[in-house]
This record gives sequence, structure tokens and C-alpha cells, in this order.
Amino acid sequence: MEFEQIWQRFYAPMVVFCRGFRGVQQSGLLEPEDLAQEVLLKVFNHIESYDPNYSMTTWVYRIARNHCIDVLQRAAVVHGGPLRGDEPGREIGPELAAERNEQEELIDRYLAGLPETDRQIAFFRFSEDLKLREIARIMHMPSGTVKYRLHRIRAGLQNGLKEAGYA
Amino acid sequence: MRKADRVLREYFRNEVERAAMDGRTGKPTVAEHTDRAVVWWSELLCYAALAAIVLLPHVVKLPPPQLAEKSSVVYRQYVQQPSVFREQAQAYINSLEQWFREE
Repeated sequence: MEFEQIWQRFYAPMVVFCRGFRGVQQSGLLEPEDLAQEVLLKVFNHIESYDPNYSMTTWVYRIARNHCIDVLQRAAVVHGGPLRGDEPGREIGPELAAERNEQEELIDRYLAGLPETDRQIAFFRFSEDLKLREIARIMHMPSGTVKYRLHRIRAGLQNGLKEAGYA
Repeated sequence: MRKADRVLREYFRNEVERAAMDGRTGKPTVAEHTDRAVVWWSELLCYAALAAIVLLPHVVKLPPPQLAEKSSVVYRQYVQQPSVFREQAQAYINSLEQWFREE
């Protein structure tokens, strides 16, 4: 697979995925665009180790997740604070906030309040349309756990939408 | 919960579209990345060239140094005294022919 093809397919969703890491937004040191580029270069350099019997998307996001976790852990060591975790806390920048409509802002706030793991599960399910077992493989957790968390994410948002008068 | 599913899909689709629009200017060119095949062929060519330099004198028998020296003398004479060049060149060719016969 050519780099161009990998780039076309994965760059934009990879930026969104990397943005979901709490440390990326909070540290201000790591740009999601830079992380996405690093990930795609890594993918391209290891393309020979890809097993075509498995989903390309799953393989790419496994690399992406591991890379982001590594980078954030190293950044945490250098800058002396936890930059990732399963606690809520993602915040979006003012430029991004300005582009969003009310409903998107509501979802932004909702996703920001979720644990990092749940944000990633939501991304894989609703952006990449991955199956439960594929998400489970990327996240290194049982499919049942993914299913439970996904249900919790959807139910929580449904309640939020209802309270805000959207549903 | 269909509404939640729908808005989440729409939300992520918009996010990805925005990232794609922002990313069009910042895309690295393929030239920045090292193609493995190119690296492999470059290394092969380097080793082949090195092997050729080392092995060539053993494979191709070159004239002895005194003949090589003579060739430069002949060339100098051609430049300085073109009239005697033919005679000198013939002598040089003869000596080369003799060398090849002996070899």
C-alpha cells in the first residue's frame, strides 16, 4: 500500500482520534496533527508486518493507540504530570468551539465528560463503524466490556439530548 | 437511542471533514519518506560498485605500469610535436600488441 493511500484513508480520522486523548488537549505540547503524522509514518514503515487476514483499520488503530499512549507517557515523564488517564477532562480549543453549532457543542461537552477510553470507543463505533470485537481488539478489553460501555455512552447522550430538548 | 447514534455519527463525520480540510495544507510529501525498495536498490548498487572497484584489477588484466607511463609520453608528444606522433603511436601500438601476444 502506498503512503498516499494510507494518508488519504486515515489522516483526517486519525487527527480526530488523537484529539480524543486527554493529554493531547491539556498539555498544549502535543498537536493531534503531529501525532497523526507520526502514527501514519509508523504505519507506513511497518506495512510489511501487516497481516491481510485482519482488518487494516484495526491494525492501524492499534498502532495509533499504542503510539499515542507511549508519547503521552514520555511527555508526562518529561513534564512531570499525568497527561493521560481514564478520568474525564478533555477540553476543546476556542477555534474549534467557534465552528460548532449548539448540538455539536452539547456532544462536545458530553464527550469531554467521558473517560478517555469511552471517547475512543465512541470514535471507533460511530466514526470508523467498527464491530465490537474489532474495538475490543484495539482497546485490549473483552467485547462484553465494550458493549457495556457503548450502551452507557449512548444512553447518557440520549438523556443529555432529551434534557436539552433535542429528543 | 437511535437519535444518540445518529448525532454521534454526524458529529464525528463533521469532525473528520474539518480535520481533512485543515490537513490539506499540511500533508507531507511522499519524498519525505524513505521507500524501502529504493533503499534496498541503492545499497545493492553501492555494494556492486565497491565490488567492481575491488575485483576489476583481478578480473581484467591491465597493462603493466611502464606501458601506462608510455601512453602519457605518447600523448604529450602528440600535443607538442604532432609530426612525430604517428611514429611514436605506431611504436606504442606495437608494444601493446606484443604485450597482448605475450599475455
